[in-house]
Amino acid sequence: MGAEARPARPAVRAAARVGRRGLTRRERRAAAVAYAFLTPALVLLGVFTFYPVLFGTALALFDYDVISPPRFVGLAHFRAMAEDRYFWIALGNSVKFLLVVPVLQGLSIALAVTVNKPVRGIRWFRAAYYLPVVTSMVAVGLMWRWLLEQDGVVNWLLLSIGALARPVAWLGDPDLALYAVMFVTLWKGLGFYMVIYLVGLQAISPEVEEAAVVDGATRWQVFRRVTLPLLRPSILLASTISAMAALKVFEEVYVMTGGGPMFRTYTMFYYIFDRGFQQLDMGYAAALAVVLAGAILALSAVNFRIFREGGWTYH
Amino acid sequence: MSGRSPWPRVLLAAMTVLALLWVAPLFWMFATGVKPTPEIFATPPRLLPGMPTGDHVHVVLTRWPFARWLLNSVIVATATTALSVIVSIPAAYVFTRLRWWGRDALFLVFLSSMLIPLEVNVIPLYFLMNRLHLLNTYPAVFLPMIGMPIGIFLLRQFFVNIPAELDDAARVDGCGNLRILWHVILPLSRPALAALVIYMFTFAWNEFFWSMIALSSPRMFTLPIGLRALQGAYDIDYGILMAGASLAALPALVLFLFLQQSIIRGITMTAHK
Repeated sequence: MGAEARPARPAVRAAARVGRRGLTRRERRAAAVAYAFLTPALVLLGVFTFYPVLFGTALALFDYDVISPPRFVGLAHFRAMAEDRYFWIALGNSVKFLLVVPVLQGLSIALAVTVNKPVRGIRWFRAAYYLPVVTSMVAVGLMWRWLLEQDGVVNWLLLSIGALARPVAWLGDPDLALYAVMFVTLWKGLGFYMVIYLVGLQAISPEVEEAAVVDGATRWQVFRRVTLPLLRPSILLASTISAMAALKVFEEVYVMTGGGPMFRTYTMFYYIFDRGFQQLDMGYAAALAVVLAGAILALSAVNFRIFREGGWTYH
Repeated sequence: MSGRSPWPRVLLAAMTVLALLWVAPLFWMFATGVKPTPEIFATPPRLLPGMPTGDHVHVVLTRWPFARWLLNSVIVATATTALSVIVSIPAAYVFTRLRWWGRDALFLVFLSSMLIPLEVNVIPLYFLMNRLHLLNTYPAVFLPMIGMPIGIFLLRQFFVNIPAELDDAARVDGCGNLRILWHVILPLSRPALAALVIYMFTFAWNEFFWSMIALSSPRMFTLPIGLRALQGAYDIDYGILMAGASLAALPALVLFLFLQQSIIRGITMTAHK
């Protein structure tokens, strides 16, 4: 045993040394190339994303009105939020706005499955839903504000088919305004999410679905048990984007209602904008942004739990 | 479900109605922009303008630096798109084609930054740009956008599916990383690049909040910010507002309809392996 092991040892050691040195050199080279190629992306990410995050978090601990020098206040801003009714109104509306996410995702999936067929002229159908996506939210918001006016064309249409008894102030009614804004978000976003799901559907090979049909599954069963589970990565991506967009909603509100009526469409991001850039209360606004970022991270984590591989079973 | 059967008639009818619902508001925007004011507020509403007028368009184009806004938007969107592509390609390459120390950890760093939307950072970004004396310039608007890691992810998803044998073969032939990237990876990645270009261009073209904070001088406004200024000036004068909205929306809509075949195909092809 000893005689066998002894001559082997130096050889192994030598091999390991050569191997280690060779590998190290190659590894070092690969790492050098990698970091060289990554430098622009890393610098941009560091300077324009991570530095602002750190700076913003630090700013949240200060009072700063842009004119006088910043004053350290610790966690006072976060404590003040508990008593701040505008904070709770804004947070409540932003959370309510999340209602748009399941509706929008459900509709987009249904639409993607429907237009994922070689029907003649299908590209025109797809294009129709994509037109709002390439239009800026400001244009879309102004347009819908005009359509939803009390003497606007939506009321006229609904009155003339008898769906309404009298004109409704869609954006002026405190109980309706938020839902009217959510509808516009849905109208603008549908095409975008439809395309995400179309991409996902194309990654599913038709054989899988056909096999299920051969096995006697109904269309609905194929959709529920085959298509939908296979779409999970797309659902994770789309619902994360959609939930982030809902929590930080601003443009629709800014252009269509200005946060009104009676703060019923006043959202977190609107409040950050008001406190920071209108009232120049930068420290408090930064603290609000920290809370919003925390909400986004928490929601994304939940979303990831639900839709990751194996996290959502049907059987 | 198999994707082979055409639509039944009921579905075709329903889809036609739904598609019309999606197009009709835009039609109404364009129609309002060319209607004389009395027609705009007529009851019942007129579908088509009886006497089309260029008055509202004229107001927008002559009293406001609209052409300049258009130019600003083109510059910002083009710069954002081009730089984002240039930055993302080598990054996606080393994340998929090379093994190196720290790769997975660094990728997680990029991944986590996806969850930090640009808007959350506007306050610190404002001070940063102020410090760099970049407020009211194009770079102030496009630098944070090219810093977004979305491009790296889009390309990575695609690069991952390109067989490694192609790299190995090229390496045996004596190609370095740059030549492999240029001659092997990129020619195969056109659909993914098309998708990235479209995504970034649309994003930059329509970006509103950060642009509004970074740009305060009216001559530097991009179209969405200019449109918001129109709203401030005319409130409910919908003829002028819809003319402005139409003019702002038109370039992107025309470009989209012109390219739509390749756009939707480009986007949906990213999933092909």
